[in-house]
Amino acid sequence: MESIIQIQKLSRRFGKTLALDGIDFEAGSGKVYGLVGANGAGKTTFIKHILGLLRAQQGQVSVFGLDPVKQTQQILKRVGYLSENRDLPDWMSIGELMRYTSAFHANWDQQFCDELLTRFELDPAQKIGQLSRGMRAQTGLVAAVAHRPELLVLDEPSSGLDAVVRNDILNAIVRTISDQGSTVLFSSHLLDEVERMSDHVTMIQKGQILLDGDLESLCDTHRLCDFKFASALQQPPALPVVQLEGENRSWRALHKQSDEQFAARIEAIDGQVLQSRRASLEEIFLAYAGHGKSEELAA
Amino acid sequence: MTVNSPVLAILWRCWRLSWKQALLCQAGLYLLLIPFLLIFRPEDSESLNGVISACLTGYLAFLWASTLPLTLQRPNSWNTTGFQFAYELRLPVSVPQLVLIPLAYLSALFLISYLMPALLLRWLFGFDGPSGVVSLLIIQFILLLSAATWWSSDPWDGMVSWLAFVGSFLMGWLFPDFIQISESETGAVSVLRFSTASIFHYALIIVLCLTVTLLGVSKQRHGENLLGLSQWRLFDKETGLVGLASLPFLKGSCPTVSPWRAELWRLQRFRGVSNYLLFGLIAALFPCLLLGSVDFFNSSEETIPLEPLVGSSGLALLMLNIAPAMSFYGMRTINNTPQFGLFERIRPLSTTTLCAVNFLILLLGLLAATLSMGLFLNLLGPLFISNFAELAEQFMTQVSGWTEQPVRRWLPRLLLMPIYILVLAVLMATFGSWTKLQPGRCSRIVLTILCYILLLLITLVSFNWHTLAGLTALTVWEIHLWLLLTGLAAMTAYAWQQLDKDEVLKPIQKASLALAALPLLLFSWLSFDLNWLLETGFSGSLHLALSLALGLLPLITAIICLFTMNRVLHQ
Repeated sequence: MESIIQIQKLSRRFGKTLALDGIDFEAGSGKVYGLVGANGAGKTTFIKHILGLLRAQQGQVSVFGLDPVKQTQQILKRVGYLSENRDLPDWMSIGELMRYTSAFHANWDQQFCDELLTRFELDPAQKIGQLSRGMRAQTGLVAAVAHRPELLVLDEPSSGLDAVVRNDILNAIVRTISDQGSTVLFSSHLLDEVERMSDHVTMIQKGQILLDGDLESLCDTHRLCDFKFASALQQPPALPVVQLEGENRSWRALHKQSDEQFAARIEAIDGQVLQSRRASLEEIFLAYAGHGKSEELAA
Repeated sequence: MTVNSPVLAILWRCWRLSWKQALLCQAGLYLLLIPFLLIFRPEDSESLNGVISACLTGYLAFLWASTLPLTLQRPNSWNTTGFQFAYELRLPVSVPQLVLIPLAYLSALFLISYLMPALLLRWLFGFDGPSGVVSLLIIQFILLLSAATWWSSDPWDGMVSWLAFVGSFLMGWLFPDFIQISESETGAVSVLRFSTASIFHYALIIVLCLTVTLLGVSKQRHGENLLGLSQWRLFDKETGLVGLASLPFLKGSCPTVSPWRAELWRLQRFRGVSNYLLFGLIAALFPCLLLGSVDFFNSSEETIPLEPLVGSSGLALLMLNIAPAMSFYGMRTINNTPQFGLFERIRPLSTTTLCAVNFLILLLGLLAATLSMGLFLNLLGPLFISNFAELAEQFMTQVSGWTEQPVRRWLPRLLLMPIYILVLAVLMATFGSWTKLQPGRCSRIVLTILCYILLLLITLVSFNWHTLAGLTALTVWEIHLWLLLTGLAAMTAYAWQQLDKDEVLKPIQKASLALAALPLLLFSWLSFDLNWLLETGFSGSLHLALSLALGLLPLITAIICLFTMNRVLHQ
């Protein structure tokens, strides 16, 4: 698989705040990469480094084998980007924005553009300044994908989109782009959305990568087990787990062992496994990120 | 600070938005005016009062400008009218409280800001300025100006009320006794007083304006306006005059043949001809209003000379060009904060192309603004300035006298003039961009330079610069010019090195830049009259320093501009 994005030991500091702390990341072609993290985790800063909008203070960033600062133009021609704050020129009409953007991309697909505009029910004559937040996001999305980019970067794409657009259209667009062999990198704090759309998940917290791997293997390797003891425990049992919660007799653990291995350990300390199942992405994230952040994410 | 009532909360907000500015203005006044008066104290009390009164007026105007966020809704946009405390309209607080508390705060702030330095200056230098009358004038000015801004959120209403304010002021309806007494024999400010009739006059105007404001804000609370909302807007916050920008020949459709032409189209639409036509109008209005006011209040027979007219028009044109130059680097007001827009930064265009396209648009805009200013000045000038025809004739005589000089002298000057205006505007905008990129460092540098200049001036004056052995004013000027040149050269070398590191310039572009600098150097050398310089007492090396400084300035600007653009693109 061809490597599209390569990041090594990337660090970034804004004043006294360490926004990114020695991040390593690699993305190949034809896959959908979900970047998940709480607000302020460093997702947008990470994305801006990929686009060359921020210069790496430490570490190296390479996109299509090019340097995003030295060869920005070559990279941006092959990238579609939807920014988090949907920064679009208010004074242009939707049609003018599409025409303007097409001038920068030799492989602009006008038919695809028109198709998407119709699908989103966007009127090309309407001014961007008069659009609602959701329509603005849809317009930005069309401008980002109509040249069928080799790398599509979406920063919080579902923010402002209604449930129908989010579930059906966004998913369909991302899949269309991915199926044509392009790479999609999108950030979100909605775990169900990342789970639904991604092939690969990277969890960021406080500028560090907590977890990085294929979604399937991540969920397969993390098991959630409920178990109990005959008498109440004064202290949590000593077990090799990612997270352990409970009290007295009933406990729940997120672990990375096989069900058999973990059941044997529980039995060895006089416990009994009630049930064991595959963990969801949300459960994995909450376990890694900690309880405080979990509430923020769940919201 | 703990606030436990709506009144305190509103006061806290006012204080939070203004205390730094007020403190800074006070500090600036004490640090600049008092040392200045200690060194150059005028001989007679009339001159002393004149200098102090002028400084205090300027200081109050500056304070007003710096506390604008308290009165204007969105200071960075065209639509600045309407009640500023929009957030508070959603809170459980009455409209009279919402309107009157900020007005009371502003009045108190300005009174304290005037009375404190006035009393200190009276104690130190015997300043004989009036306290009571000026205090009343300040309060009236604040109440009326805020009322004119707040009563309606419709820009049309705002414009009409502002025009009414300026018109009434010029007609003497707002400050009747002030005008009458200033025309008296003494002309001294200290004899100002109010008749009972004029107090009623004041009170009536204020009560009327406040009532209209309260009614207007009550309407704004429910999304309405006192006179209803007009259906179409005059200004667009991004493209300026809506009507002009919509004209078919200015609108056009975006060319898709090349990225740079598309970018040129965007910039033309974004801050193109329509904006510059407006700038021309403002640049013409500024000297007209300024000199018109001077002409109006001028009790003597003296007429307005040409220099202030040319100077104020040129200054207005330069200042207005800084605003579009700021957007050179993609700086826009997003959520009421100046920011570098992402939309501009993700265009797949090289740094050099972006800079070249921006320069082209700025140059074209400057020419359009100059032509527009000339046109409007000719139309508006006679309405505001009584001897405008005479001034225009003087100007034409001077221009013809200029062109009677050898061609090698006036042609380079003519060619260099728009370049230098452009260079100045871009340099100021570049500095503005760096204050956003590196705010702490920039403020330290500016403070250091200002302190250095102040210390230098004090030292020179204290040591009687004309007689100090071997150190004349000209030598100091020359040394600093060379220092400036060295500093600029060092800065350019650093910028060049950084550009090289990021591979921004291709070898052919580097060669073109160097080649373009040669004719400018030559023009710069030719434009100075060496004989005149030598006769004035300057040395030959100053000619070289000036020619180098001015000849290389466009090249240095181009490099610094590329460096800044590159830094903005990849922060």
